[in-house]
Amino acid sequence: MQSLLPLYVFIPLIGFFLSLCFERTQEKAMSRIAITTVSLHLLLVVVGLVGWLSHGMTTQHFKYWQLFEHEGFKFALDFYLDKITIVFALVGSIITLLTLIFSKFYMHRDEGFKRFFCTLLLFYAGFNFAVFSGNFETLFIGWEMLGFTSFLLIGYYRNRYLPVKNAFKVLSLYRLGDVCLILTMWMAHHVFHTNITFIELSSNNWQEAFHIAEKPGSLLFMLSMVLVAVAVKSAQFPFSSWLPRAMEGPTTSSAIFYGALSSHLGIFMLLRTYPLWQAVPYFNYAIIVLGLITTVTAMLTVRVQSTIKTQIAYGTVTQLGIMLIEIGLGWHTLALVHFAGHAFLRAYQLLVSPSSLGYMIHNQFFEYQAKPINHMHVTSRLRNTFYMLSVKEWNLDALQQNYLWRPFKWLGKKFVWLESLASQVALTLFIVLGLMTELNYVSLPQAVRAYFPELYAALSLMCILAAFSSRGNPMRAWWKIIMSQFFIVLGVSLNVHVEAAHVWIYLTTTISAALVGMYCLHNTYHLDKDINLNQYHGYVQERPDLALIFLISCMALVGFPFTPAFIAIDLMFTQIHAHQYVLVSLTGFGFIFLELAAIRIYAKVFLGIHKKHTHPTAYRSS
Amino acid sequence: MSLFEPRPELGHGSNTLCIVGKRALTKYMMLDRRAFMNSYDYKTDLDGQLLTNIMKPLGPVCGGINLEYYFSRVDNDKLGAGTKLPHNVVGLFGVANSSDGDLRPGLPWQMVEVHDPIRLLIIVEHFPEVVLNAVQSTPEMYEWFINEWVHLVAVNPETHTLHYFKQGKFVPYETLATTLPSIGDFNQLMEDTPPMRTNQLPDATKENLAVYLN
Repeated sequence: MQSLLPLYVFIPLIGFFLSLCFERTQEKAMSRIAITTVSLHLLLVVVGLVGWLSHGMTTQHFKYWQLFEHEGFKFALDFYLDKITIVFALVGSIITLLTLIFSKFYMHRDEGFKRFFCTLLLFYAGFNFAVFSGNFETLFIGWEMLGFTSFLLIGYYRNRYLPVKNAFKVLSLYRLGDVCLILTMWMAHHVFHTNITFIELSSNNWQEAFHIAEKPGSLLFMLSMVLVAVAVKSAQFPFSSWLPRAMEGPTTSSAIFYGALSSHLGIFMLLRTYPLWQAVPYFNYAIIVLGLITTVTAMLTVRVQSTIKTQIAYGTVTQLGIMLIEIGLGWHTLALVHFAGHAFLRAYQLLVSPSSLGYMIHNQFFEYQAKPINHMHVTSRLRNTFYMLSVKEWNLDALQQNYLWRPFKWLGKKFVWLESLASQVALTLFIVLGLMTELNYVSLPQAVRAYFPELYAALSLMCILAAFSSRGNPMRAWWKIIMSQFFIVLGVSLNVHVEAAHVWIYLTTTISAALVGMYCLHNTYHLDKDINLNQYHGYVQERPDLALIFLISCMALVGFPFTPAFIAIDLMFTQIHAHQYVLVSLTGFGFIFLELAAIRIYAKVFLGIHKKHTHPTAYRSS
Repeated sequence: MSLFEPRPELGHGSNTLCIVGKRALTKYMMLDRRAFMNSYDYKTDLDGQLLTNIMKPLGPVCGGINLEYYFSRVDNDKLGAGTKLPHNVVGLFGVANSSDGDLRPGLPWQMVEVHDPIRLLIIVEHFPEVVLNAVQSTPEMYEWFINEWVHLVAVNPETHTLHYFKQGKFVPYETLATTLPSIGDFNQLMEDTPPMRTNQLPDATKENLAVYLN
């Protein structure tokens, strides 16, 4: 039974790699591979369910791969199966299977048929990584894969402007959630001094075992990070506005992602971390309040939305808020039942949403009655206020834009001078100085050296922000991203002693990815001698091969779970001490904007409307 | 019938031919569901009074649908609605892409690709003089024909000769080919046809139509 657990993750992964082997026109083979994979998976989940029931519903745990071990830091793939896992896996595989069968006909003759099925299989693998995860690291792998595949499927129509814009918007919020999860892992490592597994957490005496009562601040930090990650993933207030904007891909992918599975992962995360917060007073009140605010705002919004998909999206947000309230009140089984029913309902509603016209137009023709006009008085004025607020979706989108991202853009623009030759030389000198200090060629007074980690982390963040808000040459922005990696490595290695081998793992992956990326940008530049970041260029139309390679190198550069750099990032975070809040926030922000800066270059150069008129292009606003 | 499959057509398929005449005219003919059929017997209407009323909506309705297909194919991304798969129904009156896209005009790829656009051919079974009188009776109807937005052919009900409307008058029409090629074994032809190189939308709609040039 336990040895079965890894299969749940690896079957979808094998399916994904198999699906890559086919030509893009082989629709039958593609859909057959996908459907077989998910059917097989569903069968296994049912076997797992029977096994779990026959074992008396005991929690199953499988310690699978120890990928890495170093001074108490263990990176292991752990798998875990309990009630929550079973419910999520069963619902997930049934919905995915049904949607795949539907998509086989729905996507027929579409240009991106293969892209769709491959991405969906990768998503499915990520979903199972998250659901079957036995520790935070494995959960994080799944979490990252989900964010990445979301980006690909929202931006599925990559030759139009709006899908690309919205995909990037959603990706940036997801990245915020990802980094919150990294910070949770960082703090967990300092609290528990080991890589805590969910099975250890679910034992009753972990609080005594790890002396939790002595460090309430650390626990609070972890929980607030979890809460932000949950709020982002499940589109809670004030992040609700991304869910309707994510409905850009084909209807089937919207159904599976934003109606059914992806949006419920926040609920999963909250249930999974229940042992962490069960004894923390007030945390469940925080959840209830968050759920309540979300439910009320989303409920008011859903009633005035004019399009069917935004209605369904805000309807989903409302129900997610109610699920949060249920969890806060301690009704976990009810939340699970609610999740299962809700996921099926939303998947169905989204799949039939294109024909809502056919269903409802008769209603409008024959039974429509205009509402009587109310004269203005105090209550109607109040109602109109709420009406306008809801029509504008409580300004959440603008709020995020103005107060979350724009300050960083503004800050990044202040660092334009990094482009100049003098500052390049200065930065290089800083790298040399750091290296010398690290290798003890230069001995600086301790009082100065103590500030070095923060200094280098700040320099790294500076480079990244400059790249993030750059509107000029992408090759220069790319170069700044590479520089920032040197700074971050130096910052961490000046902080504590890091083994040279680990630095090499990280640097070799990063630098080779950077070189490949530079090669792609260089080749693209030579097509028309202009790839400035001021506009979208859409070169994927002309050079899909370069676009794919550049995307892979972006993912490798930012430490997507298929690279060793991924472990190195986790390792680097654990090297930061629990009291170094400045350093950790600088590094954390660095990791948010590192991915955003890289993917932004990808989006601007390769996605969007192709600038040449050799083929039909859609309007920017369509 | 499933309403949410992407290629339902819903009665919008007839868009190439419009036949005003007796049903005997098209007996045993395969029209591929693409013809508007107006039952009309010229003997009941020798002076063309009824014909005028029948032909009045042909331009705006049949020609309109026909041109909708044409423009949607010419530039599906701007004049048409693009692919149907991400469409979002807005307020029960239109479609847009996702939450903040504009309303889309025209027809989606999935409709256009199953019907190659051909200029509408209206065939009327009556004497050419009567048909000419009928189409010239109102200027807004005549616009459609004189500006060649649609083709018009009159079939002489007695001699069964064809008269093509060109530059304001009917001229006798002679077919370019005198013999029609025929297929012996239809099933064999279907089996021998090589499979399409690619079946994806942008490629599959690039093929040339069989056109006779003179």
